[in-house]
Amino acid sequence: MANAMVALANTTVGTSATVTFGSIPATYRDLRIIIRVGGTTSTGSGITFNSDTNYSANYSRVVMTGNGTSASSFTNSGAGNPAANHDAGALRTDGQLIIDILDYSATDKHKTFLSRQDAAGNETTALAGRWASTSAITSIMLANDSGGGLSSGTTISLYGIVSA
Amino acid sequence: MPGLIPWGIWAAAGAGGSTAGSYELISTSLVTGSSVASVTFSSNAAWANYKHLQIRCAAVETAGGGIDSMIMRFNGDNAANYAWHGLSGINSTASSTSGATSSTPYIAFINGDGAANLRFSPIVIDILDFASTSKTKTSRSLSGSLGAVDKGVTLKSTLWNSTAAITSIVLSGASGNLDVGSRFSLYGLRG
Repeated sequence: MANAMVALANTTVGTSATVTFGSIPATYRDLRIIIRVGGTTSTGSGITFNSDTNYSANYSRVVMTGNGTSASSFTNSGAGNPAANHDAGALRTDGQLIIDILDYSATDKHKTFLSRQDAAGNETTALAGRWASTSAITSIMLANDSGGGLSSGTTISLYGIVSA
Repeated sequence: MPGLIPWGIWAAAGAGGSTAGSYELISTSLVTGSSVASVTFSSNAAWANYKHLQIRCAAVETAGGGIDSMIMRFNGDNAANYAWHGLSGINSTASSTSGATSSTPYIAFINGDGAANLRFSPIVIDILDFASTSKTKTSRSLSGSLGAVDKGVTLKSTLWNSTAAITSIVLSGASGNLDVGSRFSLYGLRG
């Protein structure tokens, strides 16, 4: 039987830069992104689908975090905090981020994703997010949550997961 | 500077997916036509190839709205032979919940807004050592519900207090049917 998880791309950020995976075909059912943070600057991670930057209207998320002392939860959606709506998890020193995007090419549902983020010196986090669009995802841009570049040394791997 | 990475480069890197591997698709169930009370995966000869199972879902319930729970039972056992724990964030509240000697093992959040609202829940479940006859069966999951009103994310673990090998898996909503468009895929991980 064929391997169901296929490595699609790997990249390491040299000089601080955003990363865009473009022309993603509908070959797979789900996508997985694995990020190991480089550098020493802590930021949020902005994820943008199909160049849709209307974060206030089209992106929302819920975040649960434990920092060693307490657990907390919060949401972002609507115009209240548009810069954070598309944040897929913090990018911290010694941090890691694994994002699963379900049914990314379906046209009968909004796109939802799960994210697990950990930074040994700071926190561990689980996040669920939604992009309110029925368009198939054909591109993913990763940046910090201000739209700036990812830290030098950050490694990003993209996988496709097949399904009948 | 990575910039734009086009698909052609990935393909050229050998991303074929045609070779056998350690993580393989077993089957997919898609709810079509009308909603259903449950989705069942029943074992076949292929299951013998695997050590662990994973279920990936984009699913929604027909219930009256909000965050609901999905239940996962094994081998047709509807008795109080399960236990579960959850660590959840719902809107601005983090909490932990549990059930002991339970007949309703809650394995995930599922949105109850119905398919028409397009807000299918993302759910990933791992079932470990499913064929062992010397261990009770443990599962874990990460899931979310991003409804029109309430939003939640949860980490859950369940115990099925049986040493029988798992030969069937039944997924259902706690309060409603699984609505049209819901997708459930079962994968096997070789040991």
